[in-house]
Amino acid sequence: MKSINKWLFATVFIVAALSAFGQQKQKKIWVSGAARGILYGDDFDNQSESDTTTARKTQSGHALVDLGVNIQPSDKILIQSMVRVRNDYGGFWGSGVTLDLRQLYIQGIIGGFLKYELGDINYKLSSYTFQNNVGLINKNKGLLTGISQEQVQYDLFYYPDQSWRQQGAAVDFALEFKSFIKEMDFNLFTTRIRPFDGGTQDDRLYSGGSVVLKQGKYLNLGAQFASLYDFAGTSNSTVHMSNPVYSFSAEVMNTFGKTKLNLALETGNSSLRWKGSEEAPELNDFFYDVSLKAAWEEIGIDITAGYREVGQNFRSAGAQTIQVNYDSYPLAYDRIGNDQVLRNINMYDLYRDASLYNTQIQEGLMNYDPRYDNVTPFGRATPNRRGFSLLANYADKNKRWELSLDGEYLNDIVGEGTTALRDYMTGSAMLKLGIAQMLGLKDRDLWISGRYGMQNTTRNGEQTFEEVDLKTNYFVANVLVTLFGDLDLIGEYRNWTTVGNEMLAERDVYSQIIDYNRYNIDYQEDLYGAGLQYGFSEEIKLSLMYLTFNWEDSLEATQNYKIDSWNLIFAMKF
Amino acid sequence: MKNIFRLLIIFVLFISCERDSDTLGPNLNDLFAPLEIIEPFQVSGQRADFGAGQTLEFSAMFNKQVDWEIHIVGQNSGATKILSGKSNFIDASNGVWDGSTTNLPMFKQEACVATLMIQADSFSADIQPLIVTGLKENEGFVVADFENGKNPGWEEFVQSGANMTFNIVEDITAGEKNHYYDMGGRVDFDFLIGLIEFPASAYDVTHFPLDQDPGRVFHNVMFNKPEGITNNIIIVEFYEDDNINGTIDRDANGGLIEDLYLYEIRGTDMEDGWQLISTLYEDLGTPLVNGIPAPPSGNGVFEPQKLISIRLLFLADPTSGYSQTLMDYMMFTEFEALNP
Repeated sequence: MKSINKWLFATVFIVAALSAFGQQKQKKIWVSGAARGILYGDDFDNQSESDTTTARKTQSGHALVDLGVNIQPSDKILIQSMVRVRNDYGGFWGSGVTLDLRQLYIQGIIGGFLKYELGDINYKLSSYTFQNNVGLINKNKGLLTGISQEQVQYDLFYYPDQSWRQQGAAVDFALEFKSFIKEMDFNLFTTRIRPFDGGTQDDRLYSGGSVVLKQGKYLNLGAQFASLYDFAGTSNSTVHMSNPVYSFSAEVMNTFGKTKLNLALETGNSSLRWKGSEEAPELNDFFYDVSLKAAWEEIGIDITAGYREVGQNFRSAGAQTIQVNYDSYPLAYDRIGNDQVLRNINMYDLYRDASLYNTQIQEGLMNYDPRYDNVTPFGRATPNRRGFSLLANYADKNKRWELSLDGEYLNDIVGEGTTALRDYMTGSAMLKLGIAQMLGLKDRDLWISGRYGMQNTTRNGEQTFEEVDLKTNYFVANVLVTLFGDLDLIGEYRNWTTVGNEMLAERDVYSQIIDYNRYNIDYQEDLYGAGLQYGFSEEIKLSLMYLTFNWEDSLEATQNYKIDSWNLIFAMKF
Repeated sequence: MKNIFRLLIIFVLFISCERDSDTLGPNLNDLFAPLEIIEPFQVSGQRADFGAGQTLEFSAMFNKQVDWEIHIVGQNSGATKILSGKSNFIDASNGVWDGSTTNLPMFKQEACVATLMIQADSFSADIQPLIVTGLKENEGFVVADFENGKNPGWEEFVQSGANMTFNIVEDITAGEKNHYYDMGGRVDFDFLIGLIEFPASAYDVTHFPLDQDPGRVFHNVMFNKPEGITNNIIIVEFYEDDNINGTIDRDANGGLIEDLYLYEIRGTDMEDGWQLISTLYEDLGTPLVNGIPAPPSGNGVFEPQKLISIRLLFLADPTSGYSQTLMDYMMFTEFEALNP
C-alpha cells in the first residue's frame, strides 16, 4: 500500500510538474533539477588464489532524476519542492525504485528589504564559526575521479561556497548609510540538527548570525556568532550541551601604486559545556588569525602570508565538523578476503561513495584519518595549532600557465601527554600548462596539470615513546585533449603515500583525551585511468572511463588489492 | 595606514594573551614507559598488634603512575586485605593496613604475606612474614560471636529432621576468630529448619543499647554458604517493644500488635564462602502478605532503641533436600557498616 501511494504521488507530482512546465510563462511555475545515470563495473583482485569468498566482479549503478517544481505565486515568494526518483540497476517495474523528497524551501522578501528562507537552507559564516571545510583528500579535483566526486557532493549538498545544508529558517537584511559607512548586513538563522527522541534526548538546534559593516573602499568589520545547543525542556534530560562561538573580523584594504594590500584579522572565543552534569568539563578557549595579502593584478601574482593560533580547547561545531565519517566503511567490497575483514576507506571510495560522508554538524571533535590530513584535520579551526601560512598564485593572463604554492608551518600549543610539542608542515605546489594556448590552437583544448603535496608531523622527546614521525606525500596529474568537436580525451594519475608513526588521541564524549593509540603505517594507494568525455553542453556530459586502483600496505596490516573499474556516467542539470 | 596600525595593535594584544599550558590527556610516560622501581616495596614493621591501634605502612616509589594493588593474605585463615591505588608512590597516605579485611574470613593471630602487584607491567614483589599479634577491634554491640559457647538467654528451635546441626563449631576458618554457628539439616515437612532468637534480656538489658536514629544503626552478620548449597533462606526478624513494657505484645488471636521488621537472604543471591551482610536499620522491610509488604503492626516507626529481640530463621524448600549455612559475628554498629 505504501509503495502504491508513493507511485501515485510520484505520478501526480510529475504530471503536475510537466503540465505546469508547459504553462510556466503564465503562472510562473517551472521545473528545474538534475538527472544522471551511473554504471560501475568493478574487477577486484587481491592476488590471492586462496580467496574463494570475495566476488571478483561486481556491477552497480543507478539512474535518477531530481525533479524540482519552482512556484512563484508572486514576485516576492519562491517555493521549491524537489523529489528524487532513483532506480538502482537491476530493479524493474518498480522493484528497487525509491522516491524521496530531496529538498523543500520557501524564500521571499518582506517589505522590500527583509529576505527570509524557510525549510532547506544553505548557510556559512567564517572558517572559525560555521563553514563546511573540504578535506585535503577532496581538494585537488581529478578529471576522472572528479566526475563521480561531483555527483557525491551534489547528493550531499556540498557546494563550492562551503556552506552547510541545514533545515530551519533564516533572515537577511541590510541597512544603507549616506556617509562614512556604506552598508551594514545582518544575517540570522536557526536550524534543527537533531529532533527530540521521545526520551531523554533534547531537540538540538544550531543558531547564529552575523553583522558585517562595510565602510566601502578601505574597511570591513564583522561580528559572527554561532551556537550548537540542546533546547532544554524538549525532553526529560537534565543535561544540556551548548557550544557558543563568537568572533570578530576586520579587513583593511588599500592600494599602493600597483600593489593591492589586504590585511585581515579574525579573532574570537568558544565555550563548550554540559549544564547539569557534574562530571563534564567546561572548555573555553580563543583563537586569532591574521593575514596579509598582496596582489599585483597586472602580472597575475598574489601572495598571502598569515599567522594563526587556535587554542587547544577551542571548540566550534560548525567549523570543526569533518565531511568524511571515518568510522564508516565503504559500500563496495566492504568485506574482503576469506576472513571477510572490513576494508578501510580508500581515496577511490571517497570519490564515489556518498555514504561515507556526514551531512550534519557534530559536537566535539570527530575521529579523523591521519593519512588524509594529520596537520589540519578540522580545517583552519583545528585546535591546538599555532604557526605561519603562505599562499602564492601566479596565473598567466593568456592562460598559458598557472602556478600556485601553499604551505603551513605549525606547532602544538601544548603537548599531548608530554611537554614535547609536535611540528607540522604541510604544503603543495601546482603547475598547469595550457599547451593549446602555448601552441595557439584555437579550435581545441589541450592542457596538463600536476600537483605535488606533502605533510610532515614530527615530535622529538626525551623518551622513544614520545617520538612521532609521520610523512604523507601525494601527487595528482591531469591531462585533457580535445579530439574533435566536444569530445575530449581525459586522463588522470594520483598517488597517496603515508609512512611513519603517530600517537593518536582517543577522546571521550566531552572531546577530552583519555588515551592514545599507537599508529604505524607504511602504505600507498594509486589510481590511474583514461576516458572519453562528450559535452552536449556545459551542463550535460557523458563520460566513459577505465580506471585502475591499487592498494599496497607494506606492513601487511591490511590486504593488498587492485580494482579495475569501468565507469559510464551521464549527468545533466536543467 | 592608520587602520592597519590599529589592527596590528589588536593582533599584538591577542598574541600577549596567556592560556593554560598544562599538557593534554594522560601522561605518555605513565602509559608507555617501562616500569622502574625507584624505591623498593617496604613495610614499616614485621609485627603489628592491631588491637592496640598499631598499623603497618607500606611504601614504594615508581617512575610513573601505575594501578597498583597490595594483597595481604593470612597464611592460616586465608583472609585477604587488598589495598589499591593509582599513583607513582605508596606511602602513609594510601598504603596503611589497620588489620581490616577485604575478603572474609577476618584475620587471625597469624603470619601473613604482602604482595605488591602492578598488572599492566607484570610486576610483583612479596614481603613476608608479617605477624599479626593482636586483632583489630571493632566498635559496636556484639550480639553473637560464638567464641564463648551459647548464651543461656538465647532460644533455639530445631525441627526434628535429618542431619540437624544447630551447634557451635571451632575452626580456624571461622568468619571471626575461631568459632561459628552451624545451621544445617533436612526437613521434608516444613520450610522452617530451625531458628535462634537473641532477646535483649540475654544481655541483661531490657532493650538493645542502640541509637534512636534508624539512619545510623547498622545490623551486621557474617554468613557462609557452603559450596553446592543454593536452597538456603535466612530471615532475620527485629521485634520492637513500642510501648516499652518489656514484652512483645499480641492481641487475643495471637496477632502481633507491635512493630516487626525483617530482611531476607536467599542462597541464590549469595556467593560461596564467608560474606558480610550489613543492613541499615531504616532499610528493613516488613513481613509479606500475599507477596506484598504488609504495614507494620505497631506504630510504624523505626525505633532501634526499642528493639527487644532478634530472631533468625533458617529455612529451605522442603522438597529441595539438605541445606546449610554458617553464621558468625552478629553485631550492631553506628554511623557505618562493619569494617571487619
